[in-house]
Amino acid sequence: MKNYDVAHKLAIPSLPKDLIIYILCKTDPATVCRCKLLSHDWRKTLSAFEFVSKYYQLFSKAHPSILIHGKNCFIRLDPKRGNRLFFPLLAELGDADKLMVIGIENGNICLSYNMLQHEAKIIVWNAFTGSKRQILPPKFLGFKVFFPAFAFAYFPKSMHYCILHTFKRNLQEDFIFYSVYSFEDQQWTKISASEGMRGKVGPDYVAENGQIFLIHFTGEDYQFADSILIYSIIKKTFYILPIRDRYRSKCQFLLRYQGFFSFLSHPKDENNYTICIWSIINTKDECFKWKSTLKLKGLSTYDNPKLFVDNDLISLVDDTKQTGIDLKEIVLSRFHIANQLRGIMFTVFSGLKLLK
Amino acid sequence: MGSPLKKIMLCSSEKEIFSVEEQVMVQHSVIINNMIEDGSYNYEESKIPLDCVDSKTLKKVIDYCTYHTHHHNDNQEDLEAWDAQFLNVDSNGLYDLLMAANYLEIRNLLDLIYRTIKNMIKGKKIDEIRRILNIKDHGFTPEEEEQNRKEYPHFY
Repeated sequence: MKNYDVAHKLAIPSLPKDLIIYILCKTDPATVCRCKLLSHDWRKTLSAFEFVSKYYQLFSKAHPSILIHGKNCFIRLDPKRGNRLFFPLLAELGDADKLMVIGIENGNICLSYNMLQHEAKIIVWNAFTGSKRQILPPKFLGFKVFFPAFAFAYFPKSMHYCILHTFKRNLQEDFIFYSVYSFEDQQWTKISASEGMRGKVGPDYVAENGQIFLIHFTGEDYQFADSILIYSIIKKTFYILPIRDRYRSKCQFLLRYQGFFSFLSHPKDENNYTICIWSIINTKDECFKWKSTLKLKGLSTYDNPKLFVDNDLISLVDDTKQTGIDLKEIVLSRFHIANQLRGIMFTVFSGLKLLK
Repeated sequence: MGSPLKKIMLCSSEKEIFSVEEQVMVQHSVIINNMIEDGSYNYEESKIPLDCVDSKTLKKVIDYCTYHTHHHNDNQEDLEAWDAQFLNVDSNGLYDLLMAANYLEIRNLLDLIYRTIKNMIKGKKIDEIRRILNIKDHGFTPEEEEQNRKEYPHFY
C-alpha cells in the first residue's frame, strides 16, 4: 500500500474514545505503548478494561505464538506465518540458565531468577512494552524452603495479577505453606490451608478465570496425583477436586481448553503414547464435573510427547534430532482439538528450551 | 435490496441535497441499508438528513461508495491506488471523513481510514505523534513525563 504522508500537514482534531479503541485494537503492542505515552487521556483510555480485554483477545487470536527461551533472549514464534520476534533478556536477570518461567499471561512474562534456593527473585516483565516489576519472594525466618512452586494468575476483567507461592518447610513434613502476592497490595499474604491438603503440590499449574489449578500429590514418594487443588483468587479459598482412580498414576498435565480447565494424561510406553484429555467443567456452585474430550495416539521418541497447549491447539514435539553440538532440530506438529486435525507446523533449529 | 435505478436523497449539514443511486448507499452504509429495509424511507418525499456531515465530505463519501460499487471487480492494486488518491486530503478532511464514515457505518471506508491513521502513528517518536494528532496538552505532571522518558527512552 502507498505511504500516506499527506496528513502530516495538519493535525487531526482529537479523536473520540471509541474510535481510538477501534483503531488501536489492531495494532502492535509497541504502538499501543507509544500511544499510552501521548497524553493522560490516551493512557486512561488504553489502560481501561474496555480496551485491554478487547486488545488481548484480538491480539492473541491474530498472533498465536510460541515462546522459546533462547540463550540470551526470548523468541516469539508465530506458528501461522513463521515470523520470529527476538526479545533480549534483561541484564539484571543474570545467568539465563537459572531463569525459570512461572507464567505468561496478558503479554507479561513472570520469571524467577537467581535460583539459589534462598535468593530467588521474581520479575514480571512485559517484553513488548518494556515495563517490569521486581518482586521478592515471601520471607520465612528460621527455616529452609523445600519444593517451592509459583503460579501466576490474573484477576478476571482487570489488569491486576497475583502470584501464588507454595512450599514445604522440610522434606519430611507433610504440611504445605501457601502465600499470595497481589499486584495492588504489593505484598505477600499467608493463606491458611485446610485439612486434607497435605502432601506435595506439583510445579505445573493452570490459571483460568481467576482460579489457579494445581496438582496435589500424595503417597510415599508422591507419585500419585491425588486431587486437583483449585484456588480462587477472588474468594481466597481452596477447593479440592478428587481425581478418579484410573487417571491417577501415569503422567499428568493440566491445560486450558475452550475456556475450561482440563486435565491431560499421556501415558507412554517405549513405542507409543496416548494423550487423553478430560475436561473438567465448572457447573454451578463450584461443583466440577469430568468429561472425556479426546484421545490421540502417536509414536514416542525420547523427546515426545512434549506438549504446548494454547486453548484449542496442542503443539507437539514430534521429533528431535541432534544436528550439531549445540543444535537440535525440533519438528513441531499442531493438533487442533476441536476439529481433530493434525499437521506439521514447522521445524525449529535450536538447542533451546520450548516454553509454551 | 432496491432496484439499481432508484435514487435516494441525502441532505448535508448545509441542507444541500444529493441524489444517489440507492444501491450504492445500501451496499456500503449499514445505517442507510437499515433505513431502506425497515421501510421508513419514502421515495417520493424522504430526504435522509445527515446533520453532522458537511457537503464537501458527503460528496467525497458518495464518490467513494460509487466508485467502489462500480469498480469492485478491478484488481486490488488499482483499487488501492485509487484509495490512496482518494485519501489525499489534509488531516481535517481525513477527520471529517472518519466521522462521516463512522456515522453512516461504512465499514470499508472506516477500515481504510483506520489503516491510514495507524500508518501515521507507527514507528514515530512521541512528540511527532502528538503533533500529528494535535495533542497540545498531554496532561502528565512534569514528574510523570520525566518518568515516561526514562522508562521508554527509545520512544522519544
